[in-house]
Amino acid sequence: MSIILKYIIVFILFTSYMYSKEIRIGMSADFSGQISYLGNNMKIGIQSYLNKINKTSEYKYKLISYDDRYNPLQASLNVRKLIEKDKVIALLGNLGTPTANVVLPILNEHKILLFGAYSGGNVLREINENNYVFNYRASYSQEAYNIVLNLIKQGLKPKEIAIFTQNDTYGDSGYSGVIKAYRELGITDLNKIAHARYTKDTLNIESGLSKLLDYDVDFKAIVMVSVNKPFVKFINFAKEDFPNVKFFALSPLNSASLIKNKIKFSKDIFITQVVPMLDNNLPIIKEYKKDLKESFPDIEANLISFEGYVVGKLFVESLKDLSKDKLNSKNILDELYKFNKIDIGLGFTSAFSSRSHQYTNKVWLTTIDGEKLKEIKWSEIFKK
Amino acid sequence: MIKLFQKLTKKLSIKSIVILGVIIMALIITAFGVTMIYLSSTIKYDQSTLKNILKLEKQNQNILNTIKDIAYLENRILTSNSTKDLLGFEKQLLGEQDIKFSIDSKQKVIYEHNYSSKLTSVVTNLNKRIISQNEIYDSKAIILFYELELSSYKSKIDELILLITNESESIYGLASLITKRYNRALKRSKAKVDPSLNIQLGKVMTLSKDLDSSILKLPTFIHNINSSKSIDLINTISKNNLSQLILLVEDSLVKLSLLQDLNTNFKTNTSNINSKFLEVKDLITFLIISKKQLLKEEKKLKKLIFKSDNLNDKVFDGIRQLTEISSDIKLNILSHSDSISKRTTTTIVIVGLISLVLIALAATTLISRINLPLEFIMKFIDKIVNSQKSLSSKLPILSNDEFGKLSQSFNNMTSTISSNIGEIKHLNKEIEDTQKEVIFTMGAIGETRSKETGNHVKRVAEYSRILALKYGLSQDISNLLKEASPMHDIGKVGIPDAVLKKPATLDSQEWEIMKTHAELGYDMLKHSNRDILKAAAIVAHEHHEKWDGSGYPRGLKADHIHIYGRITAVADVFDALGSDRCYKKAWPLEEIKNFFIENRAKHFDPKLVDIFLENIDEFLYVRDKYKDVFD
Repeated sequence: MSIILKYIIVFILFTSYMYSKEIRIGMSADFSGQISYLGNNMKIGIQSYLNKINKTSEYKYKLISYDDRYNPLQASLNVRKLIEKDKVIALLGNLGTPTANVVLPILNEHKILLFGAYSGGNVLREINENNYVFNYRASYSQEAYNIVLNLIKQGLKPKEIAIFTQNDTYGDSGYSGVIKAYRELGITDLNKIAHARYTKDTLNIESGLSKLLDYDVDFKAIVMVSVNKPFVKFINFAKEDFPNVKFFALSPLNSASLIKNKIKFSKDIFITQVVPMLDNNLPIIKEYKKDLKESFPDIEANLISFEGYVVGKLFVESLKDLSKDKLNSKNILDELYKFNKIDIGLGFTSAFSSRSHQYTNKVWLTTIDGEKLKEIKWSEIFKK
Repeated sequence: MIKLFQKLTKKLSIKSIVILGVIIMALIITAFGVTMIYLSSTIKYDQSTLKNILKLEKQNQNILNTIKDIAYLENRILTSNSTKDLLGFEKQLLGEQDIKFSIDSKQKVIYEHNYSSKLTSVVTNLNKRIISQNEIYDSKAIILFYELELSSYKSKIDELILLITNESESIYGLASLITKRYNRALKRSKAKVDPSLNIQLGKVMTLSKDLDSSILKLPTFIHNINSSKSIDLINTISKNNLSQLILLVEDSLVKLSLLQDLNTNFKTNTSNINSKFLEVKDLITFLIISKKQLLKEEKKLKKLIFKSDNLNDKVFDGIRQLTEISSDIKLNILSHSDSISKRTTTTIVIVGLISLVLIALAATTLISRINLPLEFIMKFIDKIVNSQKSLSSKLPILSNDEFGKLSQSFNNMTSTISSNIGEIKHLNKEIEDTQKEVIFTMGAIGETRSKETGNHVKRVAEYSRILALKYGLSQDISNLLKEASPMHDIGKVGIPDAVLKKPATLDSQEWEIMKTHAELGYDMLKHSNRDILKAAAIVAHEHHEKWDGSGYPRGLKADHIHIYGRITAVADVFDALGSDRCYKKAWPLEEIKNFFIENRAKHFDPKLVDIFLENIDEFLYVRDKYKDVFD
């Protein structure tokens, strides 16, 4: 009897010791659905970094992840479970805007942090409403904004640029960036912006394209806020009407799939990225490749897991000065507001602030070069 | 009362009184035992009844619990939303065979019939309730099945509508794009003019728009049907609105199919729409049928719920009545046990009192009948012992019982003893007299051998007695000595006459022979066991011994001489000196006195001499009384 009791006591002490040294982080994403490649890669990236930290740190970061299959209801259930049952101190690298819409009220209710979500949705960047969201990456809106401003910089006239968006929040986020850019250029009449939509989950781009024809302009650039399949169909159709047009897409586009399917007109396709290309000579890229190989030797490096790695590192680094036994959502928030600019190896320094919950607005422009993406300068696009 | 009892039992013997007492006590104990056994048997009966009541109450509670369980389960069944949930409850459903409630047939409650018929009705209702529960389950399962079907139809229809609208959007978009491109080319004068194509494309666009708007109205109607609670309303919607809408869509589709040759995509789209719309139509038909069935089943379920509520009420009511009956029984048992305990106490008190009275009666009677006569007899015996009453006196006979008989026997015994004692006394006297006579005669014989007279013996006897008494010897010993002393000279019988009767003075040899008479007398008498003869032997042997040891035959001194001898010596010498003889005259008294004074402590015991001298008158009186008369 007494032996059993002793074992129980030892077990309790042991587990409480383990718990006290464990920092629990939650993640809800699509790990088995249509965009599971995003979820799985994000997780791989985050885990790679945490594994490295856990090797030397007294406090062990534990990533608890649940599959939501990109289903908002499941995502809300997962997040509740993570917060209430698993007692995570923060959520890392959640996936998608529709899921974020239902998760955010829960986070506000429990005052739990959502850090580095893989989404450029505007809803994640409404600081006043969602005070517990911190992002690494530029928003879709900023990507689109960046594209428009850079195109103008390269000598294009505003009316030579068309916008083609998916009829949902993703498309609207991009469109809002474009509007912002045009406003800065002094164009306030939205009717002057050539804009068309296509229905989400369909390939019905004809109607939208026919609307663009109404502007009776030979567009030089079309900013595409869309997903792969309609993107491909649209390019094929639009090249009939606008043979010289160039297409500018945002980071969610699955460039690997485009390359794999040997897309036509690849020279005229440009995609912005929120992380630098992996052939860059940046410290964090070396670090990422090394740690990935160590934790997941069979998995090839890609931009998505790299973003996960960046998010993981940014989270840990931001809280480096915070005593680990004081880790709670309030202390984390205070720590993130300290305006300490840090360089996580991306070649620049930045910081969070109460006015900006986003580490960087920076985007990298890429194009398809044969079998892979390569970084390209804006000035090189229209040189030919 | 005691006296009355004694009067009543006066004529009975003690034995019969005791037997009577034992019989009465046995009767009382038996009556008491029978009463107690009866009372305890009723208590036992009460106990078993109570046990059964408790069992029945527990059973009632079980029935209530079962009803509650059923109600709880049923509630969960009714609120379950999915077949999966519902299936989970299937195992918990009770079957009729799960219910085993009954009355113990051995139980013979007064209320048995009433109770058992009520319980039977309760159990019947409970069984019905169980059946209704199963029916509700089945009904709910059917409803869930239809709901599942309805929602799958609905989602399929929604899906198909989305696909159809996508197709029609595609038609519209393509028609629009072709038109726009044609117009653009026209503007840039790169193509030939074909106005009819534009008109036809415009028609396509309109048709696809119409189709779109018609088909988008479908979900509203389907929703209306789905949320409707009346079959009539469903019929109205399906007959009027829905069929019109379907006609509109079909009309658009027919017209579109006329134009589908404009573009290969149109053809694909239109045929897609056609086939999908056919599916939609079928699904709508199924949906309506399912919905109607669902409504029917819901109605049925309502009835079932109403029925089961009714059954619940019945069971509850039945249980309430059963509880009332059992509480009545319990109350009865309570009051019964109360009365039993009172009766028990009373019985014990009464029996105790009666027993006490009877025991007191028996005790007093026995005391009066045993102790009093016994004491009387004992006192009487004491009186006889103390010679307050003569042995021949009679014990009065007080009662007719054992003591009467005892008294009678006692009287017989005393009278016998008394008469026997008289006889013995007579015989004894005769023996004594004979003895005395013999001894006296023997003494006289001795005297006859000497010169002494016959009265000498009598006088010596008397003197000896007086001396012995005065010396302090007892009456008996004194009398004994009186009887024995006459024989002091019996030994002279053995002295030859030549010596004995020699008139002259004896020479020394003859004197020695004479002296042997003491020894001779002793030898003659010493073998006797008789007290008188023993005493006579001592007297014969020692009556010639002298105080100073100068006597014969043994020359004993003072106390060594037996008191008999010493006394007889005084008596013998006094008579020899004091009495007349044929051959001499009696000494004068003064000489006799002097002689004895001179021989005090020489010849005679000084104490005896003192006694003699002090009481000389008595001796003289005796000498005169037995004076020899010489003719």
